Amino acid sequence: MTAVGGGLLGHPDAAEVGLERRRAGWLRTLWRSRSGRVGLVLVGVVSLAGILGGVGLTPENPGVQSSSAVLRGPSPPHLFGTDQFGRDVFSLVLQGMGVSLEIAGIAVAIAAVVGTLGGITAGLLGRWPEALIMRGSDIIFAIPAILLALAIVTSLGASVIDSALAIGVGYVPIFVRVVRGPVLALREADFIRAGRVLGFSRRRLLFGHILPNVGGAVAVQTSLAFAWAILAEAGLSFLGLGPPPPTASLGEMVSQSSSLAGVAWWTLVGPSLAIVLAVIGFNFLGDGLRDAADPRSRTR
Amino acid sequence: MAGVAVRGWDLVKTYRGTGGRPPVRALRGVSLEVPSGGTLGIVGESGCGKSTLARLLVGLEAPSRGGAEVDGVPVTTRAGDARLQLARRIQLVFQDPFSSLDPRRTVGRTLAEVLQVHRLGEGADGRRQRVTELLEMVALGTRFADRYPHELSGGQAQRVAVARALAVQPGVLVLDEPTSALDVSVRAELLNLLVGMQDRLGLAYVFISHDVSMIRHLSDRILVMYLGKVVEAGPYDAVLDRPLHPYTEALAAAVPVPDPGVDAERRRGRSVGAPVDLREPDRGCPYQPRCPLAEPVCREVDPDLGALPGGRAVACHVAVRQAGASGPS
Repeated sequence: MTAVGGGLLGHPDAAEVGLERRRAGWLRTLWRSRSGRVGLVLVGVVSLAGILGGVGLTPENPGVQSSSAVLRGPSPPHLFGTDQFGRDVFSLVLQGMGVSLEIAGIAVAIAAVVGTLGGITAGLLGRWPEALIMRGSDIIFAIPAILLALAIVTSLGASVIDSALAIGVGYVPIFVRVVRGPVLALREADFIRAGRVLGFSRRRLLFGHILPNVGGAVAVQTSLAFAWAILAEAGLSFLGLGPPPPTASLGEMVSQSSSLAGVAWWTLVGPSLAIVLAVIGFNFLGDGLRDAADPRSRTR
Repeated sequence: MAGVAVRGWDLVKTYRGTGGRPPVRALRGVSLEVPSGGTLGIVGESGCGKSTLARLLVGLEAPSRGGAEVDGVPVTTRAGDARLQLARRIQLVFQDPFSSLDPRRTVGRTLAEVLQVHRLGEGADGRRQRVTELLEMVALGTRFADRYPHELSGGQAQRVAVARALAVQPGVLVLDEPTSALDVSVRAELLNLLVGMQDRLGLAYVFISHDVSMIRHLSDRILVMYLGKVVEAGPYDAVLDRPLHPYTEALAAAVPVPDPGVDAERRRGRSVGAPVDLREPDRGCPYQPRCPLAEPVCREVDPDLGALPGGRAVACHVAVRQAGASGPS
């Protein structure tokens, strides 16, 4: 109801009782929209696959080669068939999904945190900090993101962290823009002025009123960024610039199996399907979030 | 002698012109006084500086010159304890009730937050109790505590905004066109509510409007503003019944009278003319380009606000001369 708790972790309203109910309402709205539902299901499946692959809970050990089961087509024991070394493609896909999601996750985290901070700083401070941040992000924006990632990976190396950094940097300007716009508008909003007249601290206005109102836009963009990052990572590793051999990501699998496509199409279908499902899922989720993030869409 | 709730003197606000444009002089020396428990009405067309004045009075912006005090305490724009103290003396109600409420907070949370910041009401229960009282004060029920702003009508949202302002129990409420975003049917309701609360709580109001008729039931005195200046001041009835400044006359004539004959008669031959460039003329009276009575002196000398008998004042060469000619009443 209207209870306001004593402030958890310094956040003004973290202990708010109404929070739970609002969260629930938010998820329910997401589920009610078709794109939200499709997105949630696909992202759920993809994430589950990635987690299983990441912790090694695959039907077969993806590293184990078997000379007696080379290039078998899809069948009950091997859902996606086997590759030229007799490895289970399904297990490889799970593992690759884990790697892809890890890289994409770190990349998106970098982009979202840096970009959101940049956008808020630019929107709130204005003047030269804004000019600096906006021109800086224009420069990054001017370079095609995949080229930028290529350049960074070739100069830094291709470990998981380096790949993530390379992919994340290109997405920073998008977060900067997505956040700065609303912050500019919110800074002049009457409810922020009302808060100032009421003597609210800057911290309260920023964390309690401005941030929650850009949160929706950030959530949407995060989901779309995930889709982009998975694709970018696949592109990089397809070109042989992914993390080195023991950690095979989906793009690398596509690259390796493309030469076999004529003989064993299933080795290509498995990883490709995984990439497509992940990208579609995060895109749909982003669309669904866009609708759900607006409190006006939440009819109870 | 009743105390003075708000005093502002020689308030000037100049905004830097952007992109090579000349600076905008939004306020050009406005002084005002609001007695405790009384109402000062401020009228004028858009761009005359009414809203700038409101922002200076509550400390949202600092004046370029001059100053203001509430209950003898100077108005400050700086954050901190002084700001909190000022907040409990003077509050502002905005024109657009929806943009003045955080869309992500329920009414209850919005009100409770104010109480929490000002440490009013003991604990969550005390605050909930107080939120109920506030909602009842503005004639909304407890059930509104769970509503989001988009679930309210304009009139309800504006009541919530009033309740939020009153949560800190201020002595003065600055109302910046509080009714102009509302449907005509709910304007009267809000005005009645405001009148009732003034009687009950002894509030002083600064009521800003572009529509003189809107402040009739509330105002004891009014200031008529034009391009950042006060052109006429005085008791409401005297100013509206016998306007001295030609601009006030035009405003008074624009008030509709529920009698077609009288209305047509009053409107005859009077025209305010099209609004002109809001950057005032280089010299002379700011109203002179639109004024039907303009004389050569009006193009040269900007008239000061001259005091007249009966607590009135007018900034007009012609009106002052005519008032002088007719002799002290």
